[in-house]
Amino acid sequence: MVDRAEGLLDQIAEQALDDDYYLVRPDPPSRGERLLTGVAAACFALMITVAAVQTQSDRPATERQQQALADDVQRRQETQAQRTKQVAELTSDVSRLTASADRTDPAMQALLARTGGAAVRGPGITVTLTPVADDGGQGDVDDADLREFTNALWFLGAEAISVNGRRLGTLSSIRTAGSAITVNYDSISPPYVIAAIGDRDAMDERLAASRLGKYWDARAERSGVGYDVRSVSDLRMDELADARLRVSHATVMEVAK
Amino acid sequence: MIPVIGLIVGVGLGLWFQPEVPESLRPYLPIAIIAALDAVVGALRALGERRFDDRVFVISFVSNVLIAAFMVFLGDQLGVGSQLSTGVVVVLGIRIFANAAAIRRRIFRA
Repeated sequence: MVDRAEGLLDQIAEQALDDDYYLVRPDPPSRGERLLTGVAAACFALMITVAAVQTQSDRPATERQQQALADDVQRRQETQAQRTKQVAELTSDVSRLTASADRTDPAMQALLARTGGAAVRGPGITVTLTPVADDGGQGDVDDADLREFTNALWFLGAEAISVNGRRLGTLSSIRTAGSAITVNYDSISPPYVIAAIGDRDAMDERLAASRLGKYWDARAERSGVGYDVRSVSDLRMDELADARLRVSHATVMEVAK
Repeated sequence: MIPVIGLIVGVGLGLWFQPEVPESLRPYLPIAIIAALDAVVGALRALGERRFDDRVFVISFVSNVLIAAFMVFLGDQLGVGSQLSTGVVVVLGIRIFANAAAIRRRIFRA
């Protein structure tokens, strides 16, 4: 057609119609060719229809997904509200029961003594462990050793235990943090003194006869680590301040303008 | 007459069967439609200028669709995603508008 188009896009616009249409063909189109045109038109319409139908049918899928998510969120929110209500109910139950509990009841007092809820005083034994090395070996004393001893003492009949003056209750922990051992999240330093109130003669005897006692006797002999069990006639232990779980909330602070 | 019947038959088939387009063919459909539209608009213009030729139309229709689909495929394989399709759409769009403008000029003399 024309060759004066300057740019590529101009050229495209100039030759928008296929050049072949400008070739003049002498013979009229055959019946087959006209039919093919119809088929091509049918294909064209079919493609558009299919694409439109597809888009239509895809839309509900995305909507369904959204709806499912929204439902899910709502369900979880309901569950959360329900649980929050349950927590409030249980909390009020606990405070009601605590208030109604008879603190003079001997069973209650025994429980309080065992769980660290009350101060106790009485005869017992102390186990003193003194590390002589800092290498984690036989001469060192770690948190696992202290846990082993406290568990053994409970088993041997202790009614109340403290480690370096820290009373053990239901939520107490003995762990290593860094290089120090912590009891109730409080660092302690050697020598480690585990005090147990209870039948001192029985505890003393059973500990000496137990595998733990024999092991520590041998270990002290071998590595020089200090292991000393004493019977004490009068031990005192304070009650544990945080004997119970507390619920803490973040609160919004009013900021003065 | 035959092309109009063809269009109606095509829409009817699409609505009647509502075929599901396979996931692997979905990217090709829009570009194929644009390419086919280019051939159809070109045919309408040629019809107005009394140059319409069934054979040219059918060949340009088929080759347009195939080449457009191939460009999309190539774009995918080269990792340029839809950029090649964009090029195809730009070129075909220019052609469609140019042909549509020619038709408009012929009908409205403007």
